[in-house]
Amino acid sequence: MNRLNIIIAMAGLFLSVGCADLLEEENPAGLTAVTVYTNPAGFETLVNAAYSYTRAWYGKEEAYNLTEMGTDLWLPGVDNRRLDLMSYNNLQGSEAGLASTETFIERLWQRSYQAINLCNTGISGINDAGLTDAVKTVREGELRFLRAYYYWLLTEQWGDVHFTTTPTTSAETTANRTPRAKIYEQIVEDLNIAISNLPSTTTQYGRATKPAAEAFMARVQLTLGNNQQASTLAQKVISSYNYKLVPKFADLWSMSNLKKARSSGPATTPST
Amino acid sequence: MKILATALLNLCAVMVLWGQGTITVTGKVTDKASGEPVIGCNVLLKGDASLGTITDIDGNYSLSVPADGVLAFSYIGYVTLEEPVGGRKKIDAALETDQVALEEVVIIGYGTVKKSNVTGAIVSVKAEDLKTVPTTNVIESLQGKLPGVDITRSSGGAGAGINVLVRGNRSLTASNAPLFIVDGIQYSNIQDLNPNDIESMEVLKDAASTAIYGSRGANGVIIITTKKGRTGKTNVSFNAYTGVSTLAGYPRVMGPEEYKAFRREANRTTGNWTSSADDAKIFGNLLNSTGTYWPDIFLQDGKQSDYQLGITSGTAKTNFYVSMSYFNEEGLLEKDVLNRYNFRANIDHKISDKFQFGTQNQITFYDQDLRFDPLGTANKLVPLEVPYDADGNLIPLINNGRNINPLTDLLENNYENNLRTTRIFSSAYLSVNPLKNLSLKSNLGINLTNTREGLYAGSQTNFRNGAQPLARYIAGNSIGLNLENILNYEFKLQNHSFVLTGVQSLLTNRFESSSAEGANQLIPNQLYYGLANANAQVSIGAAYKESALLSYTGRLLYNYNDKYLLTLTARTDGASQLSEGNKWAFFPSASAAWRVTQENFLSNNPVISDLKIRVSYGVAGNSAVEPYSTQSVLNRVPFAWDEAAAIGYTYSTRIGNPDLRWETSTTANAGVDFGVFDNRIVGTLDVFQTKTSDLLLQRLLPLSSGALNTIENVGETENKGIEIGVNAIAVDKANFRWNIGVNWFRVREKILKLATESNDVANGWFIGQTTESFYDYEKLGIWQSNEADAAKAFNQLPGDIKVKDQNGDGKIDATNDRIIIGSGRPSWIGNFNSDLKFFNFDLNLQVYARWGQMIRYGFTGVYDPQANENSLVHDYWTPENPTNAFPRPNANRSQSATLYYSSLFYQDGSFVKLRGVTLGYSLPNSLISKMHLSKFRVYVSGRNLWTYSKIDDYDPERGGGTSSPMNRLIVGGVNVEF
Repeated sequence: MNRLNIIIAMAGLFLSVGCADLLEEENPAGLTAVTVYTNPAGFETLVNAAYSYTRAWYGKEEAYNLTEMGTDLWLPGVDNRRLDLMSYNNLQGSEAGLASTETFIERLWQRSYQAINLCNTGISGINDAGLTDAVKTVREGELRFLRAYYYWLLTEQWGDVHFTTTPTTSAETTANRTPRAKIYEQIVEDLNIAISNLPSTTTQYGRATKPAAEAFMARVQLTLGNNQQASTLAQKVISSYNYKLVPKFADLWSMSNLKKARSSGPATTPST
Repeated sequence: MKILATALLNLCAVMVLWGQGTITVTGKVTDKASGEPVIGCNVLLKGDASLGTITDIDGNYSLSVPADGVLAFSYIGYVTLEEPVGGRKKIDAALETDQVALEEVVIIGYGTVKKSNVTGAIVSVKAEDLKTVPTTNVIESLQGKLPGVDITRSSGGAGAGINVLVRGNRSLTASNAPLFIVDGIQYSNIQDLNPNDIESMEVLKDAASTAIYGSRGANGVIIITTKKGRTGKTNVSFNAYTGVSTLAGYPRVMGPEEYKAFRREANRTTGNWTSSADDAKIFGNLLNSTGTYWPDIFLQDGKQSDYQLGITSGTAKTNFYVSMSYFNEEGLLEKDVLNRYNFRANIDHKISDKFQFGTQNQITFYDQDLRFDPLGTANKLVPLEVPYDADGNLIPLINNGRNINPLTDLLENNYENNLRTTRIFSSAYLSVNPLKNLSLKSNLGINLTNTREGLYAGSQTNFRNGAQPLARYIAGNSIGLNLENILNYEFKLQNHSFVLTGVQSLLTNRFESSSAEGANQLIPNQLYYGLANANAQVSIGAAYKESALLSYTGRLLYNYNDKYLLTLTARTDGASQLSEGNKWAFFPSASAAWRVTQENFLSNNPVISDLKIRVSYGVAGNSAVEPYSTQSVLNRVPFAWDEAAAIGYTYSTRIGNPDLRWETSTTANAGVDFGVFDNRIVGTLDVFQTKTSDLLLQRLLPLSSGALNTIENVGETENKGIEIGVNAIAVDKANFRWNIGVNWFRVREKILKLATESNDVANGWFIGQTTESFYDYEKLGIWQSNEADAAKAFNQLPGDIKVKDQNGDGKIDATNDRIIIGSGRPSWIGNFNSDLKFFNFDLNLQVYARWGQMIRYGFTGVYDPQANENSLVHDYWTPENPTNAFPRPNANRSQSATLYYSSLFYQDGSFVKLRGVTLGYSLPNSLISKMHLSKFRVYVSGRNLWTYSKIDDYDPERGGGTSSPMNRLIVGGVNVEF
């Protein structure tokens, strides 16, 4: 028996495994921001996703739970199982409420900031996405519109809140408390860019448009007490485009009035 | 032991070829001490293994051999005897027992050592110990046998899982489960193994013992060796049992009358009921219903059976062990069924005196029907409702259409959840001994898993609860590869002996799956095969996950005269899940032992027969985080522009951590092994301290960052413990042998550091506390009628839950008035084991205690103060029943609106149980030898027979859960060998 041969053969077996790139992670089923948001088609998915968070307010129970239930607009039924929802106290983060299992506040808070983080990522990375200038202008307008919108929801609901325009790239363990006035500065700045960037109409129903941004800005100015600017903008939306106010307030909830060129404003609002 | 003996035996058969004239030799082989015949003894011509035979039932053999050859007589446990033929025609052989081989051998990971020379904290369990209580899962049969290992059942459902914890929790987020090694290959699906296929199990507890497994061994290592073939006569064994399982305690919900009284109270509180005149108002048409006790409809007796056939045989060159088994369990709920089919083939072959080849293969197939647990609904259903109408037809919707009748799940083609799992676990090795004391071994293992989950749930089922019928089909497969190259070199310099081991190991795992789901399919009886006909909520997906671990290990075993022993181990591991630059880590360890009884001053001590002192220190790591934890991945969100679907990708709620590195555990262990009175009493004592730092924690992040959590290396925990195990042979007579074993251990866990200086309330982690803390308001009782004023100060009323105002500021708030109520970790675990053999009878008894743990008792939640749903028979407050247990029912207040209700859940989960009793009878040898059998034993066995706990009608072993209640099992079985 040739011992040397055996030893060499075994050594060969040993060495056959010594390959360091075995430890490189491959994730074909997963996607990262670097691979998706840096090309035009991928960037569109970011903008789409940024819109999707509006559903947290309009498509779910949380918004009206938080804003309407607990007020005298709602009354409990005979065998209501969730009478706790009828108490405003339980929904607004009282000490006892915090210990309860209700998560309305948490969910709205979380989704608004997830949306803002996505908008921040898009706005700061839009130049690296390979978009044509025409598309880039419109998408930036949309993202600014949306960021203004989410910050507006947050600050109207809770006042001074955490504020940033920088995307979160690694774990952040602290939050700041920024005065409402500072947040409104950013809302106004974003809406100004949205108004100048966005087209008047869109072929994709649901995208933010110039008149929507103007109407929203009118609302913001009204909140800020700038009544004249609010009035000018609101008039402009009514007269410059093909929009009309609905004659009856109740018609706003009529299913047959969907997608009509009539509205009472850009968005139903939290009852603050 | 047998493995070593087999190896020795193989070594004996050295091949040199002789060629001469042949003669036929006959003779008888006997045991030198007893004179009994040795059956199945190998009789071989030395140098030519092809010329050989084995002795028959009387020890006789006959063999044609060259007249000048040499005969080798070998058998497990005996010293091989060589006899030159020298022309003789009759050669009898009397074999001497091999003392070295008989001494117990312990498997230490890539090698074996004599039990007396072990330096680390290792417990060894042999096949006989595993058989005493028949169990589904081999790990369960270890329950209570191993000091330091906490084994509990997770529920009573068919094929329910087992939780194994070696020396307590160290990691808060990463896995605490031990590493399982089956025949040298990592294999976590330990439930696949049939206990009868197992030869031995070793549990490695301290870091010095596990160090050779590096990162994978931080939570302890359990090494399982399956049976190998044996040279000699074919041995066939058949093991079977079958029996009935019954409910081991289940708390009672209210019956119709109790419920009526309760509902009246709830409405009396709100002023809605004052006398029976108001009954019609609150009960409506249910007032005169006879009602139903719902849980009884579902809970039935279950069944369990296991049949296993094993065959072992071999020649001097080739040995094999093959087995097949079938296991069936029917749970306490109808349609909760598990079938397991298991096949195994272990083959070892000597190619030449230098090369050896072997393979072990296992195929396991599960066919399991999972029942959607109806008890949750059954417990809540108003007991005045009935499941069948006057004509005996099932009422699908009850309680005015609010509840689905849980019996609908049993209607034909209405609900089916079938899980099929096929696992192929194969490994093959090639070993070479180029020199007598040098061996090289390459071991390749592959673990293939295929799963298929098919679900169909009709509209009126517990699962869908009135929504459209849903079908789902998920197929998954995973491939685990393990390649190891092992080098062993032994040498001796006078009294110094050395064993050097080097291991290179590669472990890769890849998992893929695809899933399809859709609602509203046309025809129910197509089940999930009709998925193509689903036209709503159609969703498809695919997933992929991979990970790899590359390791290099070296170990030195040093032994001076069997007196001073030293083990040094070093391992370096690279894990793919960790971040670039942090993938590799080095884990060193050292352990030493002093066998005091080898010293002259103790050599002939009349009392102390064995004494060994051990110390060890080592580092182990943990990288058990999900792959891709370093990456921030994107998730798809459903989106559409008007009716046109569009794709949206947003950030996952978990943000990646680009700095992820190893979690490391450092363990110091000191132990004593002792034997007194000629080892009639033997015992082990170990104390240890483990510090785990850079814990891999899932850390919750402020939601304002846009992310929810991340995996981080933060914090530190400490585990300290003591473990004692004592075995005594109380009676040692020829026909009466009584063995008693006791073990006891305690582990103290403590969190030393967290991400910040303060406690992490959101995750329930508190500095100075165990890893499992209950943090809540402290319940004092119920506000009584005469305390109305005091209650009012807290905005409460008599009948409400009274909690302690911890800081005495006159109000209850979440920040200041919640405290640590208790810990979910036990203070100690103890076990008592008794083995009695009396003539042909054997009796085994096991008592198991787990003490001091608090549980969150789920049945506390089965209480609806509004009485819209049924509740457990709780002791609730009324002005006439001034209890301090449960608050006053109130038709206007739900459980979640009841302040401090969560403070009611915490209960002492301590228990002592009679875990198993087995009574067996073996037919006497004189009788079975006439039947050509070597063993025939029948037995009856009971498992989980009796439990003492502080909670009525509940088995707290499973830790507070309410679904799939625990069972009690009584079986009858048989072991036959021939």
